[in-house]
Amino acid sequence: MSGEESAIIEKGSFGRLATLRLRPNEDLSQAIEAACAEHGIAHALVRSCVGSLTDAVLAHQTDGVERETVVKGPGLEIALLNGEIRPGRDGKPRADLRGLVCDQDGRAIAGRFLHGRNPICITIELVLQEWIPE
Amino acid sequence: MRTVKHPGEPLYPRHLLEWSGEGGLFHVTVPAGSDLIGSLHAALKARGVVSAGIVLLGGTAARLEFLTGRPLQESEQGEHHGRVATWNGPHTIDCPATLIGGSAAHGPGEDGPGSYGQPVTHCHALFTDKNGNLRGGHLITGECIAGPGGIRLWVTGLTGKGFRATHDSETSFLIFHPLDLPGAPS
Repeated sequence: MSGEESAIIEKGSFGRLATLRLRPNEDLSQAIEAACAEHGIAHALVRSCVGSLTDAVLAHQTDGVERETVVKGPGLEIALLNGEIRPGRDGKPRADLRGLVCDQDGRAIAGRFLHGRNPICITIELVLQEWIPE
Repeated sequence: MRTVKHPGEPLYPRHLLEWSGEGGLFHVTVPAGSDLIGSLHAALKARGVVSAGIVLLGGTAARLEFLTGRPLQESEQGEHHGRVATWNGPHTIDCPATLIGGSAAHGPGEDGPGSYGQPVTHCHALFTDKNGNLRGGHLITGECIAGPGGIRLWVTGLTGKGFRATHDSETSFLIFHPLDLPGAPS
């Protein structure tokens, strides 16, 4: 195909590993960001994540419009989560997390975890790995 | 954002982070006929891995039961230590199931003060049943039996500090915290 712009590439290497536990009633994304800011982590990848949410608000795109799916708990299990932490516009760590949560019948709902709207229910246990761009 | 009232007082700090050493990277295949978590424990023990972050890459299950979470009504909380949620299930999946992905934390449990218990794996996964219906939840030790081709995982071993399960007085659950691991320098 012609007319495509080259993808933006960032070379780097893996840095330190961090083990985290996030406590209840904190927002998933904001708690990760706060932990990263406190420990000087600017860039990181989520290597593993398991835990639960009280409620979940997940976003997805439809016809160019971002729509939200609200899932009520408590006790929603996070079945899968991918994500990264990079500096936001203000230079502080910003988490971009996507995945699926499961309700009490095991039904899975997917999307992007919206900031400030995904309260942790019992715990989140995750491993982060620093990414060090050259 | 809704918050819930747990049985214990809130504990601080609200997020716990410890730096861990890398205790090896491992690609693990749980063979057909073996229990996912039991077989994984044996493999990690043989390699001296006491704690890890784990990604489920995929595979099939010949038998699969799992749990989900459900809210506890106030009238039920007394018999559940005041907890806000409990397990729902077990749910049984029509197999063969296709494992789509998942994640787990692995580490020693709690036997008593100053001692390290048997390994615990907190594992959530996503899978389809034999009709292609997508389901997910908390896998149960002894109730996820690998099918043809096995189940593949990616394990990041943790040393120094890593996951150790201890009682959490705020939620009244046994929960992984980033703590010193067996063999860690004092």
